[in-house]
Formats: sequence, C-alpha cells, structure tokens
Amino acid sequence: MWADSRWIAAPDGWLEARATAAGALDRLELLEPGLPPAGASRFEGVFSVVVNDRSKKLRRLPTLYFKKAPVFTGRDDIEVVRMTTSVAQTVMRSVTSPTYLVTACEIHRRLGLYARDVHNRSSYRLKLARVGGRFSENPFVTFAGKGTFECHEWGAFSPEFVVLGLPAPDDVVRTTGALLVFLIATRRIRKLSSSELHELVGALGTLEALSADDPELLATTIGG
Amino acid sequence: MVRRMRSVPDLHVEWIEDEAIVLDTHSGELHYLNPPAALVYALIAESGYPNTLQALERHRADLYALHDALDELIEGMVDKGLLLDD
Repeated sequence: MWADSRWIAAPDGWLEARATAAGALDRLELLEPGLPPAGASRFEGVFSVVVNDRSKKLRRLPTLYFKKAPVFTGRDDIEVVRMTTSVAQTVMRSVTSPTYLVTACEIHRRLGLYARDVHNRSSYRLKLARVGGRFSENPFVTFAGKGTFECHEWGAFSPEFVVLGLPAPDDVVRTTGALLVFLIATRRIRKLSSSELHELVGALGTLEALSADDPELLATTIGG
Repeated sequence: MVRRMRSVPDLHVEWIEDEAIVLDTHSGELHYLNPPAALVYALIAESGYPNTLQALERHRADLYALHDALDELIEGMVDKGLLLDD
C-alpha cells in the first residue's frame, strides 16, 4: 500500500512519513535524505498520507493520518502535504512544548477545547460548522500554563468549555473534575510530568465538559 | 489471609474533591480513580489495609458484599500498578 517513505529527524528519534503514491511527499519540508542511521530510534508510520487515487471509480479525498487516526482531509494532495509539514512541526516541538491532540474551537463566540474526535471533516464537526462552529486547522493545542492553551488561529486563550464524546443520546452529559482532566491528559503527545499534571488540574479542574449526540443541542447549550 | 497492602512509591496523585488522577512518573501511564476507588486508595495509603477494612466495616452492614467489592477494587489497583500486595 505504501509507495513512498521518508524520514524526519526529531530530537528524540526518527519519524516516518509515508504515502500511497510515489513522489507524493516531495513537497514535504523537514525531510532528511536517506534512512536513519543504524541504532537510531525509529518510529514507523507516524504520518501517513493517503492520496487521491485517480485510477479508482470511487474517489476519496486525500487524507493525513497521525499514527492510525485520520486528522486532516483536504481538497487536494498539496493541501494535505502542507498540513503534514505543519503537524510534523508541532509533533517535533512537543519535545519541549506540552502538546495535546485536542482541537481549539469557537462556538457562539466562546473559545473551547474540542476532544470529541480528531478529524477536521468528521460529520459532527461539519454539523457544528453549519451552526457557526469554527475549528483550528491544526489538530493539536499547546498547553501554555496559567490556565491557557495556544493555537495558531486564536493565540493564547483560556477555554470556557470542553467538548467530549461520551454517550449522550437524549440530553447533554456534563463531565467535571478528575475525569475531565484525565480524559484530556490522555491526549498528551509524549510523557506528562507531575508538575504539568498539577497545572492541568488548575486549568481544567473548574471547567465543564459537554457531550451530546445532537450537535445542535451541544451548540445551543454552549451558547447559553 | 491478612493482606498487607501499601501504595506504590513514585506515583504522583492529584486529588479533585472525591476523585483522583494517578500518574506513574516512570511509565507516564495515567489512571482515573472514581470516588469509591479514590476513597479506598487514600485510606490504604494513609493507614494500611487492616485499618481501612475496619473503617469501612463500621459503615457497612453487608460485610460479604463489602469484602467482595473491596477485593475487586484492590485487585484492579494492584493490576494497574497502584498498590503493592506484600
């Protein structure tokens, strides 16, 4: 299935980027020539680009996978490779910056953290977008301490809510306290330190997370 | 058999009201303790298993159900590396 494989040198090892078409990763920045040196730590299949296969009748839009999760579907291969560079840069920075696989979002002019799914074109996000929801393009946020998170679109912000995907068929399910902090902490890229966990409790311990199977109900609830 | 439970050293615990998050600082593994699990964990960490059992028995009439529930909670925490069974 993989026709192209390249390697990116991160501070703690080599990360593989691969694609389903030869040459698809030519535009990817950060690439190192050749293979990782013998004995170096290697992490295979960290970024996978499934490009548009024009030979097939049923075409699928090109998609970037982070490990096994689809995170970004774009209009064309160029857009997806550009996002692969951006995501790879974020993952490399996560050695020194606390990074979480959680998307910054804005619903009814309130900024929050979206942790229901990680895919920019999930059906739930598309439905939220129809009622005015906006999402950061990059699937990660950085924890900046003192209760704030950072993303490219909105800079540093203090989240007012968190969106989770707990089962909630009939009504809004609210999650607070240790369970909320735990669910966000498990989205940390790389190891969490005890001091960061303590700060995370300070940032999220008083917030409320909302889950609702109906995106319109979720948006209405956030809008108050 | 009398258990001699104790909490595993080098775990970082964050308490939020009656729940807890436990971080294994070596492996990076995280665990969430709901209120009953957090209570049992805190009691064992503070005063050991025999005192925990006595304290809980004072508040529960159905001792068989209590022992079963306690065993299940403790086995789960031993499996997850939060408690040591000496």
